[in-house]
Amino acid sequence: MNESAQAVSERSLWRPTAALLRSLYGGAAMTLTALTFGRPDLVVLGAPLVVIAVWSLMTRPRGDMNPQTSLAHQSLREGEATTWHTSVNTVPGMEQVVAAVAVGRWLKAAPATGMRTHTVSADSVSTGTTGAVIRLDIALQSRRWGRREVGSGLVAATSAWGAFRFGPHDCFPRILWTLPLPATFDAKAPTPSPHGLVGLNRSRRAGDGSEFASIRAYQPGDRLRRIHWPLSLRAGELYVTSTWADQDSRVMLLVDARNDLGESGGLGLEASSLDVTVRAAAAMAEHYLRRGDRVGLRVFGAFNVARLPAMAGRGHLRRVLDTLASIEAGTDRHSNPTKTAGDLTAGTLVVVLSPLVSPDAMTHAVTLARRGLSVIIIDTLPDRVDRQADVGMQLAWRIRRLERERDNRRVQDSGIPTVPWRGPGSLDQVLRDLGRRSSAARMARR
Amino acid sequence: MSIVRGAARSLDDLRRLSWSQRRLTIIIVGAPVLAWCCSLLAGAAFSPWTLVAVVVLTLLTAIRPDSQAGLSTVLFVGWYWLTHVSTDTGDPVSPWALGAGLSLLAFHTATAARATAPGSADLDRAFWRRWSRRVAIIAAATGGVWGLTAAMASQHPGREGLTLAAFAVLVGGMARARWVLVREQ
Repeated sequence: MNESAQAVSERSLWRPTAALLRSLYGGAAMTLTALTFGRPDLVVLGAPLVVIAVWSLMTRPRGDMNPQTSLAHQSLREGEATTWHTSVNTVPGMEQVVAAVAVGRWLKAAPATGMRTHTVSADSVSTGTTGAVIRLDIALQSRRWGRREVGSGLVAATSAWGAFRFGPHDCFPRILWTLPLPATFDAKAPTPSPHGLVGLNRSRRAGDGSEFASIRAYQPGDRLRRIHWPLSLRAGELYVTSTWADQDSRVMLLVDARNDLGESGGLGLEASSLDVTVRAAAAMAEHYLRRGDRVGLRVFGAFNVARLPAMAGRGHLRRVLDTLASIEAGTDRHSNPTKTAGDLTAGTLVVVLSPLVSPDAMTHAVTLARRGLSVIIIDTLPDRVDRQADVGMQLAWRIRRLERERDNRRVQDSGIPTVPWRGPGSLDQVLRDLGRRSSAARMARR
Repeated sequence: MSIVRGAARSLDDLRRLSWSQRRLTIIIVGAPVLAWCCSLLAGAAFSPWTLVAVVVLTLLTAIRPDSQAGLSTVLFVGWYWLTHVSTDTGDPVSPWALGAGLSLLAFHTATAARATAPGSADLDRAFWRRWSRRVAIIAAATGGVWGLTAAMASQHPGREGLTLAAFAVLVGGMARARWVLVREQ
């Protein structure tokens, strides 16, 4: 491209605005009318417009601002903020830059309008500085977990008197993952059937561990550091301290994403059933993984969500949170309890998190319990979900509540405990009950 | 139905204006009415429908500053001045013409400034300083044009071509001066 063609191309990026046409045509019309009708007073009316038009044309910018946008982070926790950066190159004659980002329902921007303006310094304008970079930053706080497109926006610039405009230039959105902020959770009761190699749960067999079991006579193979010297000296023969082995548990979280009931207001505000479910699952995963247990995740009712096998470690917590963030409620209407059970082995504690309004969660729970797994159902239906203004809706919810109670009773009769999600200590009682049940004598089938 | 929806959306847009944009909107609505008042003071007969027209045009401009409603307003005020203000009274360049010219300057500047950013965006201090300084320069130039026009019209009545030539020389001189300054820098 030769130089003149390039200059024309660069100029064409800056288009004349209505302001330029107003000053140009308005000023010209008044001046010509003044001349035609012999009215010098109209020259005074048109003078400011003519001067502005000449000023605007003489300071016409040329050159590409080359707007670039980026997000500072690709993933956040709920309530955390990131920055949407916009950078543009200064070109001669450019005076003001405006950047605006679309602020979706689950985003909070600072400035609140999601727009930022920047006036180019007078020195840069007058000397025609080229290539200096102007940055406009808009802070974005994510208020709800999930995967969403962020950063769709516009960047524009204007010249002197708003006569020429560059853009608006479309900014392509980026994917921002917002990981659920785990709710507060703690369980003091041990899991019923620990069977791994390492962990904090006391197993039912003696072995290397930290919890005292008994003092017994020395046997060949016992470690010397286990010898209980005071008793050995008194008795005249060697005694050792035995301990219970420390073992890890396998916890499988089964998340019901078939429905999302109630209004979600974002972090710190009203929570929908899926908000409660996801945050509770995140809290339990964090709790058990920190204890050294292995945690897996299965989701039903949502399409294209990964199945996570039970694994341990902090890296796995990140995988669990990523998977929870990818849930979209009700995108998959087919679920197979047998397939969900899949490779779950005996001794796995299955925690089903569900608002219990569709029969699927109960079907899953019963199927898994029949395979000999310890199953707990956590009811995540928010308390306020049935407080409807409409009388018909109130009645419908009342009927649904009655049906839930009936189904819950049936499930509990089949030996599956159901507890509402209450944060810390939600599972303590049922875990103790399950522990007692698993260690109790059973009638064998013949 | 679409008109009603459009009007509701426009009102919603106006409600969401930032403080700085609201100030500009007040100028957009007020300045042409001021120019119309200047024409009355310059001897134009009162005409209610022209006032209604001016108000409607300014409201349209306030709602859509980046449209041709602003140009229509300027042309309408010019036409009203031409047809209603008489120069037969012996004063070819009334002092109120300067008032009308400055009002049109305020209107144009406010409309252009409002169109530089979306309605809810705030305009920073540097922007206000720069635009105020420029308006002051243009206002001074307009005063100079008025003085020049008044002087020439009183000394050479009926020779408007000379006035226009003087005006062209003034504008050309300013443009040349700016070009030289930019080139030197």
